Amino acid sequence: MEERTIKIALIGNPNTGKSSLFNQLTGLNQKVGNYPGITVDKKIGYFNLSDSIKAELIDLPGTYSLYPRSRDEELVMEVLSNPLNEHFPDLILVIADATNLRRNLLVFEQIKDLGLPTMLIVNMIDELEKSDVKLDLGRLKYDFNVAAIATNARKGKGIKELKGKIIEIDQKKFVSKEIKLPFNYNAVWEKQLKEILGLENPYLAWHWVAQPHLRTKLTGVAKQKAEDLEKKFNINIQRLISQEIINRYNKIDLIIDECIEDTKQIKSSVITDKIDQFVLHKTWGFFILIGLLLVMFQSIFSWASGPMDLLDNGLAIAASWLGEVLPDTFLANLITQGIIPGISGILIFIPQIALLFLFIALFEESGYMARVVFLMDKLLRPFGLSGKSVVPLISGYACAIPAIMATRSIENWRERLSTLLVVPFMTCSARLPVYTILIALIVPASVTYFGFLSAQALLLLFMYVLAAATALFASLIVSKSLKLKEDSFLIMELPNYKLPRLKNVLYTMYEKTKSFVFGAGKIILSISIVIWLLSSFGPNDKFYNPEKYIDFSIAQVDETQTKESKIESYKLEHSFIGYLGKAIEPAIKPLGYDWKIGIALLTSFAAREVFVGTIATIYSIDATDEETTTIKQKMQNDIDSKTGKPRFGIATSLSLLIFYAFAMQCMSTIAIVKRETKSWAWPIGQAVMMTLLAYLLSFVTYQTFA
Amino acid sequence: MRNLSQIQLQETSIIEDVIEHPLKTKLLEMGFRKGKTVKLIKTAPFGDPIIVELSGYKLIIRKEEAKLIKLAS
Repeated sequence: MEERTIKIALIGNPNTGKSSLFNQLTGLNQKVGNYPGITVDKKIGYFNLSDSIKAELIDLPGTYSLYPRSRDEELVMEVLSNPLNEHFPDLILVIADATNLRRNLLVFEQIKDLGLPTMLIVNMIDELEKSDVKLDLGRLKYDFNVAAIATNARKGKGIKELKGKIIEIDQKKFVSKEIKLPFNYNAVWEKQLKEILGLENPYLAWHWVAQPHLRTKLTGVAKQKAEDLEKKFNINIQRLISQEIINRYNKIDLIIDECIEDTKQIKSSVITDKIDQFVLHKTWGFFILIGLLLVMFQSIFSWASGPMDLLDNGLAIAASWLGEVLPDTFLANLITQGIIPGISGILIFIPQIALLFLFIALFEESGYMARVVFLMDKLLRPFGLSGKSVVPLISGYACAIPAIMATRSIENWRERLSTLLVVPFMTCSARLPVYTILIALIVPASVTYFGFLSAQALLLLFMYVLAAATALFASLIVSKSLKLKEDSFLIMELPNYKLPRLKNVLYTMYEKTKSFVFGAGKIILSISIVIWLLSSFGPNDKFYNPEKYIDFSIAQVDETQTKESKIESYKLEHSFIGYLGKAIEPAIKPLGYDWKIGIALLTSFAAREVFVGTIATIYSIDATDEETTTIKQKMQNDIDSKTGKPRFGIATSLSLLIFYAFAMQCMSTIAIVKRETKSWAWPIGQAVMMTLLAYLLSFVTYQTFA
Repeated sequence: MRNLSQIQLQETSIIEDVIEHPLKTKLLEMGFRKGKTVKLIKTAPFGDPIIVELSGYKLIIRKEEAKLIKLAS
């Protein structure tokens, strides 16, 4: 028998169990792709209907109506309105929440009028049965003239029947009934509209003129003709859409009154109300929120460090083993010093990403996320952020990479963009090693206030507060200066609490990790190889034969400088990146930096913590002795030969501290912003702005304290 | 005439109309229709947004948007 594939589209309101159903049908056999030019992820899965029939299922963004309010929702009609679209379906599955049928059936009624084979899935049927409400499914099918099935996607009930039904519909010859526009209209206008657009279906033709994003795709002639027609017949699109919604709801009301025994019996969940008395309480609500965010933060901060060290050390061992086994060739060095550290720089983020999305999936699945929005909306709105921004922002204190990925849950594009552009200001864990050394150089550990408050701890706390203040302020500027037409409003459902399904949580963690490794991985790897190339080659002989140039006769300054570490330091100074560091010295002099710091700034563009390693190499500290205290002492003892003062005086150290607080200095962040915005303009603009800001503030700091 | 942003806590009222506004269709789609009952369930700690109950489900809505919904007197 010949094999063939049925293309199926899955659509429905948010919170209907759509992703549960998607996961039940396709299992792990799913992939996430891109739609050209936009930032919405495309989720496609595959499953078998029979030995000869396969199904390709596309998960369309959750929506309450075919009239879009966001870029995500525009996508629905982009796929459904165009037979040439690669995902144009043979069958549409509309999933509806059984406890909320009226509102869920609105989009179903709209979709049915697109004239494609459509099937209705009444999900969460168990919830309805729990509240003793009977649904007459036979009557519903008859009145709406549609194939329908009741399921409980979370438990996997009804999935088998669903597959059978799909085959059944597929085998029937589908004849679209005559479609009437859902409002009062002039028959001549309708006829001419269909002619202009060359469409048989008047409702589809209507969407092509009623939806601005579809309208812009019309040819110039068609657009002009449609405009003339609207003037001639005095068409007010907004008014007709309102009329459509009212008419459809009236029809739905009539039918549902017949199909559901007594609608008054559907009460809100008692358990949900009880939990919300605490979770939404004006004081306890915030305590609970702060508590949950603390647990989340603590876990990405500390639980992730075990697996991260394991990965890091494992790959380091692999690299050094390979270094011994392989001959000393360019290729071998590229692998051991360029590619393996690059891969390690990608894999190192996996524990944090997986853990953060464990929490986000739990928040979303349980229904808690909507409560976070309710509590935080008023506080964050003045800064152009969404209530949902709070999770990414707090996560940013651990690491910007998972935090930026977490902005996915913000539907409004402007709020999402503001959030992901300011997240890198938060004090991520990679800043800590740098801060620790610099703070130790600025204030001695012995200084305390009131006998117990250490000055070092206070300065570190100040850096955390400064980060949050900067992020909020920057967001205000970003959202004010971005001219984006997407308007900000908040009308969202408050779902009942649900016990999260382990399967859905695991899918989210798996999918996010995968999309990071394959989406941002290659950029991180490329930058890491470039930095390796620049530090492993030099323009002249001094790099390749350092022994000839170093005067070893000078007595060793101290025992930390071995012959090898001196050679390493000399090589770094005479590598390409070393010369680059010297070349930028005039530019960074006003900030109080010399070429040594310049080199460290360049190498730590890979990741901030690299600063420490580079400084260690430059000061010829033996690799086995990379202790913070040793490095700190080295830096403290370094005397500027021109001024005779310490090179890392308070002014320079403060200036560096400020620089690392504000500058991007993280290639992985650039890679993930590129992946999330699908454009190079945002990450590059962001990196340039942050570096300029860092430069300016470091300049002011140095000049003030010098 | 009152609008939804002025409703008292736990008070139930009937929707009269949604005023002409770019968000009118969105509000209609979410179920704010003439003749439906709404009840104010909760106000957020800083006074905004609010939670209303409508036809058996709850919605979070900002006062800004709630102003567009007129209530029967």
